[in-house]
Amino acid sequence: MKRIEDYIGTAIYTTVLLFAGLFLVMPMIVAVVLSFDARSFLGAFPPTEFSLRWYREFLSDDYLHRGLYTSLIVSTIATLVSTVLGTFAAIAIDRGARRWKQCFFRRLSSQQW
Amino acid sequence: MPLDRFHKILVLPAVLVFAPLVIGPLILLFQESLRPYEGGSIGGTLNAYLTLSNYTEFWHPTYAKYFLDTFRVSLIVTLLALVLGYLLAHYVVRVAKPRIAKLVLAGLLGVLFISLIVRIYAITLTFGPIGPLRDISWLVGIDPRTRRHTELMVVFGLLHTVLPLVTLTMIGTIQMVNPRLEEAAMSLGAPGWRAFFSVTLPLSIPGIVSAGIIGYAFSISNLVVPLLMGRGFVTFISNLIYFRFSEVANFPSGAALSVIMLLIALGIFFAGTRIVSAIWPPAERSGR
Repeated sequence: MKRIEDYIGTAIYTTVLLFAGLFLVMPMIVAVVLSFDARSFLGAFPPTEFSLRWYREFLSDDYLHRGLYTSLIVSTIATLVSTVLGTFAAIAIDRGARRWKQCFFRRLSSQQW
Repeated sequence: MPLDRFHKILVLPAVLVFAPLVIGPLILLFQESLRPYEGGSIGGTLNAYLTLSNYTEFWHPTYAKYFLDTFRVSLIVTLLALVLGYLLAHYVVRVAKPRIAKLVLAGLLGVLFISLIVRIYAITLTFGPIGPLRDISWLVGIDPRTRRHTELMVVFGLLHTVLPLVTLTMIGTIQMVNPRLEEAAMSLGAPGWRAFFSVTLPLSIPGIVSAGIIGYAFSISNLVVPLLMGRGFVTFISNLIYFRFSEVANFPSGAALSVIMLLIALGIFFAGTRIVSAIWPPAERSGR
């Protein structure tokens, strides 16, 4: 049997969830839509005209390509090094020392994320 | 039990790479923070007597505002993120169907993958003075044409990273709370919300505290959000540090501020974990 409190609780729960979701998703949508903007400046949200000019510009600009290349190289190296070293260290801390596990490491890292 | 030999060797590479990268610069920073500074020069004066004046200068009441702003805005962000994040995490673990839960998880991770700069401008274009959702600020009683709206934008900017971080952290926490305990409470006649508030929520407090520490640490140390969204109206300590190093080249002062912030951050971290283990000793946490 559902009580009136349960309905109110569910209503608040759903509203808050919707707000959180909207807050996280809306900026992404706006950013994606504005990337098809035909205007030459960063204008208000619904673009008046659409075009692919910014994508064309990105594809034709060598300077931006070099930036992308640098980003990819640097992040790949950093990720590889930290994943390998981090895995070793994590195994050692988890399996090797019971005392360390009680320490703050555990509390922050025992979560699944 | 100390580390045995094999495990020592396993930790070694991480320590060898990490220690020089973190401890080395920290020592140099601390040294710089003790050097006297003469206006117009770049960095502190070498070969001079060391001084604490770089630290004492921050006792001036002018700086109180920046410290207060940093901690107050970050606290608002963290509390908001904890409330919203806990509900989101609860939804993912307990309510959503597996497919939708996966979708939400992917979305939360996806948000973190997008560069903070991109998101800052996206948020400004969405909730800012010309954004389609600018009127949302009326909900919290803030006129979008005033300075207080700038502060709200900083809160939004930080929240957009802190919320996914906190949610992902707390998903693990809620997964470890046995759902049968809540069911038991409900079968004994408790309404759903009561079962939630008196069973699930108290059992996940340690996880909430660590999620809060992560979110707070991210907020108080952030530079880009207050710089680009605060536009001088909301200035964090990190911005002051940045200005000292980049604009006026007063390295000793910037270094002293960095050391102060480091100590405060460490203090918050240890106090937080202390509180958790004092009130909920590891052995007694029945829910975990």
